[in-house]
Amino acid sequence: MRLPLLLVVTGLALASPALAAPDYRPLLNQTAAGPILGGYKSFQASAARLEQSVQGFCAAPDNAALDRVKAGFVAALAGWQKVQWVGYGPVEAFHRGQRVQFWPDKKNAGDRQMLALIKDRKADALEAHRIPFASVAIQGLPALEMLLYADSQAGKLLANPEETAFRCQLLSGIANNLHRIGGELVSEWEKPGGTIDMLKSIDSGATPYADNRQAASQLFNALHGQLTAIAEVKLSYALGASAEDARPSRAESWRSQQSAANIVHNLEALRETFAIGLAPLLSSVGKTDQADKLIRAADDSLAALAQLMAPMEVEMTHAEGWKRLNVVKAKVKAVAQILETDIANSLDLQVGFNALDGD
Amino acid sequence: MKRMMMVAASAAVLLAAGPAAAAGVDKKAVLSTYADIAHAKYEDSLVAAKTLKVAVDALVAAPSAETLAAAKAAWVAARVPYQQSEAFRFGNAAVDEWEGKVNAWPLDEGLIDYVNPDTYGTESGENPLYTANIIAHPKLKVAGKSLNASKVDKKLLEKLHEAGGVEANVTTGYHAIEFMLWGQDTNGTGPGAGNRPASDFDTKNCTGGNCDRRVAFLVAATDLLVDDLKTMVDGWGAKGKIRAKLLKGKPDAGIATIVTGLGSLSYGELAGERMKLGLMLHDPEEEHDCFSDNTHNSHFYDAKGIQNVYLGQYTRIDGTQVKGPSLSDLIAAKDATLDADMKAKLEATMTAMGVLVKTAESGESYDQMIGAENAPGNAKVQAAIDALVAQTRSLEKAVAVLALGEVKFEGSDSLDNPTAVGK
Repeated sequence: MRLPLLLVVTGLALASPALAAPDYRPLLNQTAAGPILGGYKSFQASAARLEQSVQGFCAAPDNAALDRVKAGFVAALAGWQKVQWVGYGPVEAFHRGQRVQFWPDKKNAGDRQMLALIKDRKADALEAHRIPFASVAIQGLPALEMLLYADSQAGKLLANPEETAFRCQLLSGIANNLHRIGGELVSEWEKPGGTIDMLKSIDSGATPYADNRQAASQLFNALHGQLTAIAEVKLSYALGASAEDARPSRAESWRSQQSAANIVHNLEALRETFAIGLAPLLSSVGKTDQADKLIRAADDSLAALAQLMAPMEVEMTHAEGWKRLNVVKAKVKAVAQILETDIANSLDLQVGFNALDGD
Repeated sequence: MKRMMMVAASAAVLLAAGPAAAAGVDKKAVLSTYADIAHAKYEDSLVAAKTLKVAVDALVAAPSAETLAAAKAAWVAARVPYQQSEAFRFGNAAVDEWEGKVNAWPLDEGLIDYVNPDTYGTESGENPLYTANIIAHPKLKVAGKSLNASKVDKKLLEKLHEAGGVEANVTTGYHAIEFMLWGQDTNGTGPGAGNRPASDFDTKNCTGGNCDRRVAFLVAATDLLVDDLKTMVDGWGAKGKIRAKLLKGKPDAGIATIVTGLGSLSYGELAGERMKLGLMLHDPEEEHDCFSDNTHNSHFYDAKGIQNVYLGQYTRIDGTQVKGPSLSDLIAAKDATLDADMKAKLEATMTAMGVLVKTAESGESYDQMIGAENAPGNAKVQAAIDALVAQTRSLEKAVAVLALGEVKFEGSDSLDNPTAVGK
């Protein structure tokens, strides 16, 4: 919602008259057909497999089947991380994004609401016809993670048949919800007249976008926004000022210890989008060197992540690991820096908001 | 970290607006009205806080259902002018820095006093002091260090405010006092507010334990509120630093300050953090005045404050008026249609907020309206959010028309891209 709002009144069309306007259409089309739609399809498929694994566990509950559910959760989470950067379009409607993953949850709403629901045995709140009206914090990946991994909850999945049956209702409700939202996202992008078609027809004047540049700015800001979120929220917020100050439970997926993997998936998705979308556009304006620099910087940040010796939730609690995570943060910031300076300039786009001041 | 959205006038609009249109409205006079209204609102807030202090003293001297009800009524009345002052918070750095002392929210009330673990929970990954219960513990442990809390006074409250760097550790201001007076609301999104018995303040027939410490906490928090409000009254007074900074600066920078305050409160703060988030979570803890169920009034008077700053016309609690040249006049001189649009949008917001107040007053409180599966209630809240977003859009056009350059409005994770989140 914010980006269109902002861009309506920005518009630097007159600011750089010397520069031939880049043709943004290939960027928009390649990215939509590739990383975005492909990413949503993978997420949908992983959520479908997760749902099947839950059905399998609930039909014949044992530890092996539970492990398959956990693997299904990890895969669905990974699938979502690949498209997490896409903060605009159909994911904004009906709170779809927040319903898949409400995070960060600074008031602990997810835990509080899940505990209340468990205490009151309100499994019906997650039935298919009711879940769209339920709190966003109890119907997505964090709620599922809590049921599968929280110290106070995980043991209850196989505690006794009654408990297993109750928890199966919750697991099934959430897994089905994720599968359904994944399907909606795929359909909204690819259906005739959907988002992909709309992005192709901006020149017709019949879309919410003033021009292709505005849509490209939105995409560009979403990429930059993901980098900022990685540096400032996924890392800084949990890392604090030192290893002693670090708060592992502020990490994104601390219970399943997937927080570093999440960042890897985020960066891989961005790198793909850089290669498929931004690099050709940069080449078209004679800035192949900047494209190379950007992709090198993305590779550097992935390489820094590969240096971690343990899950990030463990690394941040001792000085050496904390330093390694701080390096990751610096490398990610460097990628953001290249986008917001060199590349924004070359492509006549701008980062339309900042996240600089603390409070 | 707060996220900001920048609003910049495009070159095209700048050219179109032209220099000739400035006719007749003196920007300094607009700023002067703005400062006068700020001073009046903080002075009214101070008067109402002193009245609250009198009621609190009466309560602790003779705790009864009547004296408690009177203190609660005084708190509700104290919120009326204060909420209208929130339009000054964003944009004026001195106000924004100070604000956390008087209106910090949301809070983890288990830091202060007893709570029901069934509804509150017993721990939080975010806050090590989630259930520290200051009132029951003369000795506390904060960030690994022990702290002597044997004397509950203003000093202790100030020391423990945001303890451990956690914003939800709130020990001062309106909401700490609210929790003292009402207690935890254990009704979820069902009917009913907090229901603390007056005997919680009765040192002779004490309920809830440690009544002497609870009394001391309430009195200290109320005294601090009075002290803190005095700071703001002084700051906006004839010789106040905040007023001076505004009036001695560049007039356009001052006008940008006004617009920043109105836009940020409309959009990121009220529509986003205080309303949309609660609606998405259907969570009574996300209700602004969650203990007292007074949220409808808080939101209503926030919106009212935006409207009266725009119009340059504030009705004080004694019924007198403060008015003068306004942002509205300034915009009307350049683009009368835009001014009319802005006024209509502000009025539409007041209508939508009025629906919330009316609904609450007829027995369905705000936390019920945001409840899951209350489609009509949800729709009423969403209508107010939409109205606030719409008035923000018009305000952005005003930024362009006034050629203010870059103006930043507070954004919100709940309204904007959910992944580009701030701390």
